[in-house]
Amino acid sequence: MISPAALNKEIYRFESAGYKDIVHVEKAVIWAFKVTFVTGESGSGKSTFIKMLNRFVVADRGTVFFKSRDIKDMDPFRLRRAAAMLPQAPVLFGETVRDNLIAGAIFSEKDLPDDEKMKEALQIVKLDKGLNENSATLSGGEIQRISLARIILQDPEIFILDEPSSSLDGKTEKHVMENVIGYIKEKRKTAVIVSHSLEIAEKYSDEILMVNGRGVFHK
Amino acid sequence: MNQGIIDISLLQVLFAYVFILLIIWYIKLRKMGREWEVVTATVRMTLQLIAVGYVLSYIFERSYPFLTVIAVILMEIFAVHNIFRRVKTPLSKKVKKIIVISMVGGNLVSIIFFLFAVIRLSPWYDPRYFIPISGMIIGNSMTGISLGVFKMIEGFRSRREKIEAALMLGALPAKAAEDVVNSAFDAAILPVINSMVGMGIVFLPGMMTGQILAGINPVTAIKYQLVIMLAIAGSVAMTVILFILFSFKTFFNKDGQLAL
Repeated sequence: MISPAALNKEIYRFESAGYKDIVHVEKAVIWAFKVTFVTGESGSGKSTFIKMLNRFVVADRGTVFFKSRDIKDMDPFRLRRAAAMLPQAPVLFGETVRDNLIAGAIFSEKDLPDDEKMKEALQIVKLDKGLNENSATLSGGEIQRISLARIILQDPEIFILDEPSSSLDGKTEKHVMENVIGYIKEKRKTAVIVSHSLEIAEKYSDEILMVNGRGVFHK
Repeated sequence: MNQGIIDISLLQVLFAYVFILLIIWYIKLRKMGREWEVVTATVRMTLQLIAVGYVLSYIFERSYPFLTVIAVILMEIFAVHNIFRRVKTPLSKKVKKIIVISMVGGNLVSIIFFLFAVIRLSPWYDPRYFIPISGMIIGNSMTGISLGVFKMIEGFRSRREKIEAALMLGALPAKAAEDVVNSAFDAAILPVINSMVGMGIVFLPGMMTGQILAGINPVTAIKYQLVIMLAIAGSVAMTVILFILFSFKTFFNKDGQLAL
């Protein structure tokens, strides 16, 4: 597929960047407005690789550029407000569903979403819960979905999602991934999504980065 | 003193140790293996109090400003040393420095405020007031800050995932650490609040009891107790707030990561 010139903008560029002997990226680019999947076996360094995108891991060799700037020279908090990340083990913030949904906006000091928007986000992630319901009783899969809804409501420029559907059953996973990726494309956002499943990656991605013991490669 | 308090003879004091013997006998009987701890604690208490008795009568008789100040400085040094020992986890140099600054800063402000603005000591260095009141302020702050430090370090460890998840969404360290910081403050101040609630009903505080035994009018004793409790609450809060304010940033590095 040939991208129109306007879409041909790079967000991240890796040049001989690596961290210890866990991950090495000789050359890789993550493009704006695209959904890039990162895939590979467990223990191959996928999580470490994507943490280089928000400075949770700092390369000890080579350079990672964010919009042509060395990522090390950026304010890490501004970087993370642009490129928000959902960790592999999602967590709850606060007591109610509402508390959990507004947390991202609070952390990034944005205006809080209204109820309408929150309900919309819950629909995208297929979570049938009231805003005032207690969140302590949510299951693992529900916590994962509420975390996805939270990051959607935070509305960052770049979504970094680490195994966002790992606790969902096959059918729900398909629905949620389709909805979330549809939403990200519709809003012209950029996404970097880790998945251990090459099948899912091939189905929903514009680009795939393969991670294995030797490094990170464009597929 | 003025109403002729019953002086206890040495023999009578020795008689009071009977209960310690009872405790030791019971521990031996149950083979709990703690008898040496009881013996050491008893001996330490006895020697420390005898020593302090002599030191205090020496200082009270002379009443020099520098003696009072040195006594308070020594108490402060002992308190800080005790905090380092009581917090079981190893503390970084930076955190230790912050503990010293917070203790000295918080204690100094409340000692100055309560001794000079509230009680209005004259002469300012009168050891009979200066030393015991400073001692209570320093001692309670020591307990408070120890609890606060422990709770803070423990909180950063146990809530690591949550703090990191907040950072990943762009939270600043102050916001990401909010829960940990609040619970550290709670842990430090709670014992003081609890003793304020129970005071006068559940127990009569030691200082007040002492003053009443010494023949002072209970109403005067109560006024002192009130002032002291407020001084303790103020000092504990101040030392812990200072500690939290300066220390929470040391848990984050320049890359905005949680550094434990």
